[in-house]
Amino acid sequence: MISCAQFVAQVRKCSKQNSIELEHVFVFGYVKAFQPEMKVRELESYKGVYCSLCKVLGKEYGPIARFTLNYDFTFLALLRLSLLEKCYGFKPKRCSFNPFKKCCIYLEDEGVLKSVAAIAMIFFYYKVKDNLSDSRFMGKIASIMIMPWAWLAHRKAKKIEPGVEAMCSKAMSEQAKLEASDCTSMDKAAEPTSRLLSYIAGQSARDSHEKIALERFGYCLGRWIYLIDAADDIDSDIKNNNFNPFVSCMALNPNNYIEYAKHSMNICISEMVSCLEKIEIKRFNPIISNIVIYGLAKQQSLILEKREANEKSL
Amino acid sequence: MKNPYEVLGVTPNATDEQIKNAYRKLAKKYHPDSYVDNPLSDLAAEKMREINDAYDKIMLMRKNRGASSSQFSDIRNLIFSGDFSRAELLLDSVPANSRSAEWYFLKASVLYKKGWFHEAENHFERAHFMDPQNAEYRQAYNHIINQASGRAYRTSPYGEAHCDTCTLCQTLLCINCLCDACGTDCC
Repeated sequence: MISCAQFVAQVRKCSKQNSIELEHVFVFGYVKAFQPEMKVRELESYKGVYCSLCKVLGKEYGPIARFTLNYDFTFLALLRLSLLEKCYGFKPKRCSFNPFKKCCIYLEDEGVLKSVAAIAMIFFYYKVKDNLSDSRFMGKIASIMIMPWAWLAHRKAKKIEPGVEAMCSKAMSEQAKLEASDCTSMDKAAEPTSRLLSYIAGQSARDSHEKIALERFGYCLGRWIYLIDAADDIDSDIKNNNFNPFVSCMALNPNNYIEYAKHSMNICISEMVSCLEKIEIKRFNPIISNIVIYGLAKQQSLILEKREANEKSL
Repeated sequence: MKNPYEVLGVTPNATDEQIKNAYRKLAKKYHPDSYVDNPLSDLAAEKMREINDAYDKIMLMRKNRGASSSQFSDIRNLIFSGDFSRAELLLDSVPANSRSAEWYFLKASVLYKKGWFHEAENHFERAHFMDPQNAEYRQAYNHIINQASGRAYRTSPYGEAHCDTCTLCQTLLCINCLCDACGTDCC
């Protein structure tokens, strides 16, 4: 029997192949750890936080919510949990999806995982809404079917994270506006996603200095995600005549965009590392640094070198 | 980053002589020799370092800048105090034909702070090529080029593994994992 993470990965792979992302705002799957560089205990913690988030999603939003889980929100959970004063520890429990599998659950009760789950539901709702304008029949059908559930989940999540909801809505409309106006500034094109992630990262700050560092970290992460998604989609964007910042702002094409893409994404990662040095991280430090230093770079090389991204199962 | 003018207690328009006098006055007050066997000696040493850095910074800025840019000293002051939006407004109000290498450098600094790395790099590059002798512009340009190469984060000390406070939790997880690996469930 496959693990729940393997099943989710399969479903997500299929759905990404069948849908078109009209706007590069709500995109997932790039922020993950580079497991070969992890210690076993770090990997177990990483899995534990993933499983904890899965449990909370299932408890708060029902079993369908578990399928929306991805590594990106696991990273957000890790970042937020790393700033808490108290360490709650892990406890062995059973996987809700596969009862034969044990998993470790982080017993935090300050509402951090609940917040991250709410943010995940808000993002998912906007992703489905975006996909509703998909011109392909199969993509549209799947989105129409899931929308009622996504709408209900979003309604509940909005009460927990109203600020994030407002920022997501703003990011969507700003992105649509600048793409419609044939934006020619790379920085301006990346701005909505960068500001959204900046806001989300800054929420966990405990004082004003930390807020500055976290907001800049989030800004650079958002910018990196925007760029890597644009790099990943350059071929389909050109084919479908969609906005792509490398094409529209830099007059690049699939044959010559790689150096520039690598160049701009490296600056983002360097800044993220500088920001993390200014933040007092209390736990999961090696995992967070693995993701930022090795994980993002690995995704960069996979996408830019156009190799098959083998999603390793958890 | 603290405003060096504030540290020395002078305005950005102070003359070099006024700055030197302010420095001497503070140095006399916080000199380590006056704090031997004093519990505040660490604080005094820290303050002395701050004063020295501020003085060096102001002197370096003035040396590089030359005589003609009092409008830019206001903008530098705004950048140091973190008021980037006002600094940018002032920079944008400078007509295109009066934009010197320093203008491009300051504009690049503001853009870099905003996170607009593409335009920041272009402006740092322009400042450096307009005034290749200027160490400040060269350093800034080289910094962003180094970041873009990926070398900056790959050699970060942050990337090295070190202990964190949750080793106990992680050890317990590991024990759980090892129990599974042995085929028995003793936890």
